[in-house]
Amino acid sequence: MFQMNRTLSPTTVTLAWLTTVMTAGGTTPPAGANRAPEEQLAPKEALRRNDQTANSLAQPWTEKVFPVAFVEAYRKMFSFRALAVGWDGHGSKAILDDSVNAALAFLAMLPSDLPPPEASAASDGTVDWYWRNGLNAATVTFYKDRKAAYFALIDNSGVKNGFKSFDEIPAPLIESLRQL
Amino acid sequence: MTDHAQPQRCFSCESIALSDLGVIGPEEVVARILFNPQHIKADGTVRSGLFSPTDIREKGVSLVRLEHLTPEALMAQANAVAAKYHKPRTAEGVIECEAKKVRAIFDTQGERLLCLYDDPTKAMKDLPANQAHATAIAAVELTDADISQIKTLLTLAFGPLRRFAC
Repeated sequence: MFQMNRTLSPTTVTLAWLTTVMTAGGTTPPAGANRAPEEQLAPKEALRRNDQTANSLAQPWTEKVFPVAFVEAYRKMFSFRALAVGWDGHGSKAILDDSVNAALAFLAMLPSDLPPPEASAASDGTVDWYWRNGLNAATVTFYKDRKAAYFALIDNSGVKNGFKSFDEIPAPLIESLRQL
Repeated sequence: MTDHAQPQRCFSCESIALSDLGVIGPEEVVARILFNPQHIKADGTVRSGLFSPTDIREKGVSLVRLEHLTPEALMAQANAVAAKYHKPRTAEGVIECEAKKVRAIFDTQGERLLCLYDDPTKAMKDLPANQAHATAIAAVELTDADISQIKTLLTLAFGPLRRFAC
C-alpha cells in the first residue's frame, strides 16, 4: 500500500505514504470514529473531501518529505476535515478545507529540526499550530483564503505578524521556534 | 453575554458592575466550562483552538465567576448549557485563571487587547439565569496577529482542566 523512499534516512517518510495512510483510514481509527453521527460527515462526503485532499496534495509542496516527528501533527490536522457543522456546539462551523490545506502546506515547509507542533481546531472553522515549552509558546492561526498569523512568546518577549504567501515561513517565526 | 459589546465600551464595563455581584477584581478567578474533549489534551491542559478568533473578536469568550457559584449551581449551569448541544454532551470540567492575567494582554503600543467584565445572563429557554457570568472580548480592533497573541496567552494563562465529579 505504501512505499518508503529508500533514498531517505530512516527518520523520514514520504508524504505519499502519509497520503495513502490518511485516505485509507490509517493504521489507527480516524479521529472522528467515536464521534456521534451529527459530528461526522456522511461517508460519501468524507470520501469526497479526502479525494480533494489527495488531489490537492499533488502540488509541488507535497513533494516535501516530512520528518517522522511531524506525522502525528499531520494526521491530527488532517482529521479536522471531518469536523462538520455543530462539532463544537450550537453555532460552530465546519473546519475550513482552506485552513487545513494551508496548515499542512505550512507543516511541509517547517524545518525538520524544529519541534513538532500541536494541531488544534476552533469553533469558527479556523485551525492552529501550537507549540509550548514551559512559559514559551507560539501559535500560528490559519484562516480562509490562505491568510495566517503568528505570535511567539520567548522569554517574555513576543513577536507577531500576519502573512499570506506560503512561499516561505516568516524568518522571525522560525527564529522564535528554534528558541522554544 | 451582552449582544456584541462594543470594544470601546469595555473599559467602562469593567468598572461599572452589570450584576448584583459587583465588578470583577484583579484577583478574582474566572473559569471556562469545557464541553468538548477535542479541546483537552491528555495532560489536562487545553488546546489553543478552545479560544476561537470569532469569539475573541465578536461574540466574547464566555466565562463564569467561580466564587459566586456553589458547586451545585456551577454543575446546573454546565448541564443546562450541555443540554443545548446538538448531540448528547456532558460538561467535562472547568479551567481557571485570575482576572488580572486576562487583563494583562497588551499590544506593542501598550494598549489592552482584551477586556473582562461581569455580564449576567437572563434566564432563557432551558437555561437558568446566571448572575455569575462574565465575558472577555476584544477591547480594540484586533489584527489576526493580535488574535494569535491572545490565543497563545490565554492558553498559557488558564490552568489545567479541573474535572467535574462524576
